[in-house]
Amino acid sequence: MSELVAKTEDATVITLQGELDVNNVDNLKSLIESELHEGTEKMLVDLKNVSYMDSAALGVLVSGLKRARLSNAQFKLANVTGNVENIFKLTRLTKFFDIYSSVDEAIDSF
Amino acid sequence: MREKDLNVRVVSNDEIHMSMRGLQALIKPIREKLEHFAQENGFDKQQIYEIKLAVNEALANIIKHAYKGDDVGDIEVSLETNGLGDLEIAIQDFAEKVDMAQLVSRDLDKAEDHGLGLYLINSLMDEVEYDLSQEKGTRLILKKKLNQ
Repeated sequence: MSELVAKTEDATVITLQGELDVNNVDNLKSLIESELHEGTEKMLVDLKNVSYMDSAALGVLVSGLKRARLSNAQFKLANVTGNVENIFKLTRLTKFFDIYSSVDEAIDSF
Repeated sequence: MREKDLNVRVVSNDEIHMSMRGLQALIKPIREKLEHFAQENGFDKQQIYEIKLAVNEALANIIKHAYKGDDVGDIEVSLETNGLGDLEIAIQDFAEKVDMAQLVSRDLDKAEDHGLGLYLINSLMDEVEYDLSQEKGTRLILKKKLNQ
């Protein structure tokens, strides 16, 4: 799994790639927390290239969402498809997140 | 991860036994073994995803809760299909026996970041049993019917 962070005036975009599971999710948790701690107000996580996600990874996104709300920051997701969409639907978590079909669409919504 | 931490014994095309130290890093290679085994035994892409995720969650729960995240315990995973092609996965740990009263799934009406694993295991598999009759530890048995 790899993470790429791009900061623009529109948003902080975290682009993830690979398999996201209990063994490697701590990096993402730290990254989200540090970005929010630094004052990011608009955070977008792009899941387009994530091929697999387990509940530990999902838990990190849920805690990121909660943490963002505490900071009055916006926390959005883009490209929730395939296996990633599967686990979101199974756990019925889609209703808690703002999910967009592309990064551009998500950024336009901020 | 060290190679010696995961031992695989292939009995036949429809029976494999794996033993591992309770390391999170071994969950991915176990998923890969499962994928190959399930493909070889005729499971479709969606079922393979569901089986992999359920076993991922079961192993993560054992490491986190039974072995308290210490990465020191042993876990045995057996994969076997029956005459109908249905899959039975047995996951044995050697920690303190699971307390059935503590097995609570997540409340789906709340955005909680814990309890998801148990919910997923129960949702994804056709049958889930906890065998506490072993001298030590818990034997979790997961069953998935082959789509015809």
